[in-house]
Amino acid sequence: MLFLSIPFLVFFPAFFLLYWGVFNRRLKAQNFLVLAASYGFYAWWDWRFLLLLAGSSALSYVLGIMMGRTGRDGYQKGDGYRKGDGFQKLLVGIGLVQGLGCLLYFKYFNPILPLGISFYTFKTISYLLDIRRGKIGPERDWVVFFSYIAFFPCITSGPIDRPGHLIPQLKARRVFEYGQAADGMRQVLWGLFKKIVIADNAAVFSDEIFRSYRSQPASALLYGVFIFTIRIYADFSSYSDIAIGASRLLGFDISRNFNYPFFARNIAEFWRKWHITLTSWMTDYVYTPLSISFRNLGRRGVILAILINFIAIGAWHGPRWTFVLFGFLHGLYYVPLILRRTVNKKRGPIHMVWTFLLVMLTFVVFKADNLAEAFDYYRRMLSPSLFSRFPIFEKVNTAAMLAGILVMFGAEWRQRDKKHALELSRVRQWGVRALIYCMLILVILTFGPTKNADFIYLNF
Amino acid sequence: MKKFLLKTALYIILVLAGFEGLYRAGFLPVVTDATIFDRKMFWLQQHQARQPKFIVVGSSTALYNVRSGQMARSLPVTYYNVSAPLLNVASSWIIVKSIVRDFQPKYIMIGSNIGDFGRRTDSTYSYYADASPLVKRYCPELLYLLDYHSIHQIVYRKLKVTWLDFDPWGGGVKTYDRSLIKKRVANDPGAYLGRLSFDTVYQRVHYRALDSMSRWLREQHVQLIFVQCPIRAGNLAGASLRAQVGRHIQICDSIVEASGGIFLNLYNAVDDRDSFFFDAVHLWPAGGDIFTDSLVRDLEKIVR
Repeated sequence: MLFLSIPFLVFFPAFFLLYWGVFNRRLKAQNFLVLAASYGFYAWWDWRFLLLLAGSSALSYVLGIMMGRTGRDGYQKGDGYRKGDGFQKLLVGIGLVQGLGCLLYFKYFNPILPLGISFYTFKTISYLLDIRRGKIGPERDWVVFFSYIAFFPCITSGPIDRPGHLIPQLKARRVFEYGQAADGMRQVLWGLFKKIVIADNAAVFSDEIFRSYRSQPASALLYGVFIFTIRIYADFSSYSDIAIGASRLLGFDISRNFNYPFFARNIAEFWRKWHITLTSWMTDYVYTPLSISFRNLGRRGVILAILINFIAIGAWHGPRWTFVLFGFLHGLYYVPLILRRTVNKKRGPIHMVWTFLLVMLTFVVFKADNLAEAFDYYRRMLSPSLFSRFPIFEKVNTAAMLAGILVMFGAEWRQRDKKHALELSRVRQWGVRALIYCMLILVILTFGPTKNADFIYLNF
Repeated sequence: MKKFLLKTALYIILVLAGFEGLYRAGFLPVVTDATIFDRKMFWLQQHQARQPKFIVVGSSTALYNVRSGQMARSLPVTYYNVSAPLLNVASSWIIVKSIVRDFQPKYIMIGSNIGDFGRRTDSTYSYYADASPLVKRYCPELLYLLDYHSIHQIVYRKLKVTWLDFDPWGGGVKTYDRSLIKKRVANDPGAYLGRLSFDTVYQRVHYRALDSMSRWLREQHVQLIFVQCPIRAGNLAGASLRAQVGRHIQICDSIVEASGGIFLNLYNAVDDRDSFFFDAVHLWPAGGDIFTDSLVRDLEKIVR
């Protein structure tokens, strides 16, 4: 089931009413409803892969319980049998082999990628590693644990919430709060605006330009990559907005995934604002252990750890060398910052533009089907036709999209200290707020493209 | 909770009222890619009292060559033409099931030409076919939701695509601009008069669809009448093309008659004159009248 589909439009309100109206008296029943709904949501796409999801969850659950019984000091509570630290490592290893094995197999060797496998595998891995590191204890309530892994607003494209953040929320009694629900609704509305008015219209134009780039002037290629950059942000961040907003409607506070990344003033800041839950996951479980291992190499060790980390982020997207190069380039952009020790330095607005351009140009590699196509695209983009005019089709939708981009950037800049752009606490008159919502709904309903494109990150 | 539900309901009601307003103002939902088909089906659903017992399905040849007035006046049963440009045989098969379910006709006439056995199936017809008959009949506004189309597209269809009008029986009323067509023919004779080719890529798909349709209609006790529409003889240059057309007609004949359908071959019902044809398969109104006269003569023996 996808967010922008008729089944979801029926499913979510029905679930919402049951969740708050019928099952709100007993936490266990409410969690069971969350689990049943999550599995139903997932099975709607393909019930066969539900077994994989349930199997992965069950294995991690059992491993977690076993790790809890075997303390890090090697003392197994109860019968006093000593198994040692090595046994816990073995349990984590089993979890890692299963999780990463399935992920690698389905991502690189199987034609069908189970929906959300990248996201729920990262959840199971972080659960085991966090138990191993002593950050959390094992979860004994299987309904809570299975719900955490399969939580339907986030299962298909994240955010990748850590167990220490979401599991306690699943274990606590939830009370309906008007403010939280209304804000969740506003975030969903903002997500729909970004998805339908900007991302889906941009998809039509960027796909067309990348498909026929050989016959397009350089100016069109530049426009194409600009539109693609906006599209991928609007598309992915809108998914996160809808997921977070829907979760807030259910009384959950889900981790933020984007923090206005195009206002970043260097590449390090960009990655602290872009796909935050993946970046922080990789930082905790890949970069940090690597940089500790390479600590004897000084700054070279940091650079090496960053390059490996970003290559892994790139490769996470799928079995294409373009993704690997995309990750490698982003890692490479860190090198001058590390050498000059300016990773955390606050810089001027010109650096914002420069960072945007760098990110935008690198998205050519991300979008291209292969490396040869990416280099060819660059070569053609750097030609004298960079200043020539190119035909624009579907003028109304183009105008709506460009206006939408301006509105998005304007609103996000003004609201950059808020969690999302439609958090209108500054606007005190309810009439003005209602007018803004109505205008937004009207624009969403009026300026969508012929066909909605799927969320890009469903493919990862 | 109540406050939240109330406010949400208010916004939903506003949106629904907006779409109801659009519907009442004639800005109909976009269901298939064929504007004229959508318009006709909405018209038919709104006029259930005139349930047609004789329904014509086909592409532009059936839409314009079959003269609706003549048909409606001559046939002893209620008549309607749901044809739309580019509606090929496999796409017709998609909608025929739905049409039989929704209107229970006694006769389905496929007005066909060789072009209808080409091109890929238009899957958007399945949006219409798959929609619940109850929704189509009692709450067609829900079709706005069936497949998302923006208000801009809905308005564009109503305001810009205006030439696809039809008469009360669904027949095309587009009046061809003779001087424009003559000018085009002068510029590119091949485009209108020369090219008549078989699409061999999709032909088998369409034969299979015709076979399935014939057998299914027989099971439903609906009489299938397959009409081979006229082809301008001047366009059948070369023995191989003539043989291909002959073979095609034979195949259609055998498929239809094997399932108890009636095959009417009116392929040379109209003289090969420029005053009758304006391209290989489309007729001027005068040609359409002649063709419809012969068709009606044949149908009078069949339709009761």
